[in-house]
Amino acid sequence: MRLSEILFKQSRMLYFAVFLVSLLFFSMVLVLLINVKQANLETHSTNNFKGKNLYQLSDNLYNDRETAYFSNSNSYTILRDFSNQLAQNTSLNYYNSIWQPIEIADFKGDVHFDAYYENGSNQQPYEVKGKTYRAIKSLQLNAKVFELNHIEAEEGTLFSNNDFIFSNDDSSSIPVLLGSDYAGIYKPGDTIHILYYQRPYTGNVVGILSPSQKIITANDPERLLDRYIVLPSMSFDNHVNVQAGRIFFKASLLSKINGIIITDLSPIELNKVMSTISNETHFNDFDIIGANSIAIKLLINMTEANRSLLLITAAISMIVVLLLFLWIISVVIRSNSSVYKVFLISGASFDQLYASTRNQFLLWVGISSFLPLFPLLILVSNPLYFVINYLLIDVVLCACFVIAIHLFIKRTFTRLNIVQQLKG
Amino acid sequence: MSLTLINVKKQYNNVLLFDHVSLKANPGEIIALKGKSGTGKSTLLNIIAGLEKPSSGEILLNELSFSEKSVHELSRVRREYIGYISQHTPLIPKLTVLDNITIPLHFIKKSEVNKEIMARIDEYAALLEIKNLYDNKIEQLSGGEQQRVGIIRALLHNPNLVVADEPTASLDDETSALVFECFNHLKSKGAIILLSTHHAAIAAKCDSIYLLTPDGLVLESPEISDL
Repeated sequence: MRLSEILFKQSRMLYFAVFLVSLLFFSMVLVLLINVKQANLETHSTNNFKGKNLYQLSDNLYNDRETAYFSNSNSYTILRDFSNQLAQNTSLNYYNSIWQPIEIADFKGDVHFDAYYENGSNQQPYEVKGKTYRAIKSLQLNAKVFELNHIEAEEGTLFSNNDFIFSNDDSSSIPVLLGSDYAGIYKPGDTIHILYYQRPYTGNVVGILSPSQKIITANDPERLLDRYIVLPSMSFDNHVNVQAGRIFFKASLLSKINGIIITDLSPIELNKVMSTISNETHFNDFDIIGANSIAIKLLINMTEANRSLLLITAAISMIVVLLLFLWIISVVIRSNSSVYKVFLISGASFDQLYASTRNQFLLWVGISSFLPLFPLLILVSNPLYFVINYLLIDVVLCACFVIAIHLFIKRTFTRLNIVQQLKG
Repeated sequence: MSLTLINVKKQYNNVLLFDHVSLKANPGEIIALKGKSGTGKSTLLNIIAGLEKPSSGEILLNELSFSEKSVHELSRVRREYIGYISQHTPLIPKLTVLDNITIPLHFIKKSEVNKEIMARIDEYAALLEIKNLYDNKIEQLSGGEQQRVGIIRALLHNPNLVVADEPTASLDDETSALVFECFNHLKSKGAIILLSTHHAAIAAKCDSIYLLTPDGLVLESPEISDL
């Protein structure tokens, strides 16, 4: 019978408690790692908006003014030029996230994905040319939205730069990204038939977004993308004939000029910039109004507070668990004191006692440190990032455990004073 | 193998326990150590067994000097040459008698119970009348039987020096006699037996009796005079 086996036999339940507490500790490390990643992502994203001035751009084209404006044959070209200049201006970030449902033929998802599911007014499916269409939640986002919100793909890829440029009138395909709830329903490489501003498109699924991806929008400081189909908000080059396909271009261009301006410029400075763009493009039917900046600032502060709270809570919990772990080790050593006495008078050195005790605990720590990886591998679809980072942290923590356990064991043995106990 | 103590001193936190402790024990000698409670008999035996270091002085086992060795190195000396028996022999309750007896084998790299070792166990178990208890769990044994298990464990590696701290304190006269018979058997093999005792009857059976005082050992029996 091995020495470690003898020690284990004496205090099975206590060793089991060591294992459980160690497992709890390493599970907390993994949960913390996952949460810190998410919190970092959110803090990183909201930091892009921190200290900036946010303005909402809104056109004045409604009712008679809209009719009058579009009676001008150059109206589309003016709108196109205005939106392109906005996007190209380096003194501001033009942020365009458009909530616009799209119709999808023979959609495979359930009602959760329907455009109006959340407010309880789902529309009935309808048929066009033998295909059944449903209105599905969709956002059209420009490249700035991806950049500032740090959007990541769980599978496949994000849009390329070219995807944000309308190529030509004849193109009938468009890249699409799907929220994480679409995993298992569609996959990268699949195609879906879309009606986008009444224009038929074949949507090529290029990627599935990571879970819990959020973006800031004009109406909602934290919009979750999990149930959304994301299309690129495309810009139109000068060679594109925006006069053709009027509904599509009209809707696209109007939506493009109703975005958010994120800038360091003061209101006066911004007015100056916008006046220049307006004069150069001959479009002046717009207003600059304050964006929902209070909600966004609140979100930024809350995100930072959440992150701090998460780290503080995790640190306190882990310290408590570590203290509990050390306390159990001390109880195990004390309950095994008769075994250590036997070992000592049988010829063991103190170093051998420390080593056999330490190895016993490290065995349980080692096993319990790997166990949290199994649920991670099962539950998370793309766990490589977490596995690699967890293993790196695991190695460092296990090294710390080796040192801490060894020192604690020596200290406990010193206080226990087995030689003194032998004196009876 | 002889045991020599030269001016051994022990103090804890500047409180002197004993000083000037000197002794020369030859092979085949049984020495009793007497003294009031708290005079440091157990401490002196622990020092001789290599479990504690003296504050000063020298302990020699033949030519082997203890003062040059660390407590870690002394454990090797203990496992090769010394058998240690304490008043309340610690045993591992969930193991059998035989498992408890053979624990020292784990530390002398002979984890197998070979014929030679088993014969030795049988020899001492027969002497101490516990041969029929090998498979019993420790918790099934009486106090006297447990003490005898501890004695056999201490003698498993054929020690040259046996250090016994009140080995018969919790035993009845009949069992004490068995234990002493076992010591005599060891003596005949040339081992030195150094034991502390309060029992005058046990001390009387020893070759020499020393009284431990703060100023050193005082010889009580007239036989040994060559110190």
